[in-house]
Amino acid sequence: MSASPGQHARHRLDEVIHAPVRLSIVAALAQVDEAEFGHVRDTIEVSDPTLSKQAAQLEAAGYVTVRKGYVGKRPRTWLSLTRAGREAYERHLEALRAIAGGA
Amino acid sequence: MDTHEPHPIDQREAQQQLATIEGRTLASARDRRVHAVGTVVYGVTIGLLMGARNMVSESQYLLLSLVAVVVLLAEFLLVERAARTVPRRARRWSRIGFAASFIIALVLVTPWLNLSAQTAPNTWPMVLVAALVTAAPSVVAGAVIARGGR
Repeated sequence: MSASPGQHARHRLDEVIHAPVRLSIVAALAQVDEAEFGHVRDTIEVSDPTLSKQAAQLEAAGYVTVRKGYVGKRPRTWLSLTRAGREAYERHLEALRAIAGGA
Repeated sequence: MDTHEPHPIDQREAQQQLATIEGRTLASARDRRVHAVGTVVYGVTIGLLMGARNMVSESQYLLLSLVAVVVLLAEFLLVERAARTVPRRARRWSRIGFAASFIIALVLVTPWLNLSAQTAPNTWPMVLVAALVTAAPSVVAGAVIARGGR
């Protein structure tokens, strides 16, 4: 039995999202329209620098938007998935499910 | 993205990754409630302001308008401060509610109250009805947000 190249679900995994921390960030953001940086950090259990670095990579790929602002006098950073990020995550999730299901 | 090299991931790893991401959630009922209440407050404030148009003097109405602006600004800031997420589609529903309340106030409620005031003074029950009709779209939008609407 010969598997044709590029047909296996693993070929549909997204290189950017595939890294564990970035996958956690994208998966968390997919559930909301926007989330505060600190809340994402606490939820996926990473440090500030780690989240900053990974969010910057996702932003560079066009998957995440970073919005900085103030609430009162406190600076706040908000993260959200772009449309491209949401679509890429959906594709990645489909591929993961296919692999998990033994495709 | 790039598909030159297949990812080194097997069935078990894929299952573990799925379990990990499904076990964590940013979405919260509390944030949905915060955004829902904010949307309802907007509609009720606009409704009361529009309804009271012919019930008070010009200077009182100016004061009332300033109070409404302060309430709306405070509401915006409180929502930003209290909620750590914007729930899925909450922003879209809020905007739909805001816009519908504003349009109803402008094209339905205000002309009705103005027309009625030409024949007889408006009454407080009329103001209440005007406020309720104006607020209705925002209240519905708030309910949709609270229920995690699609």
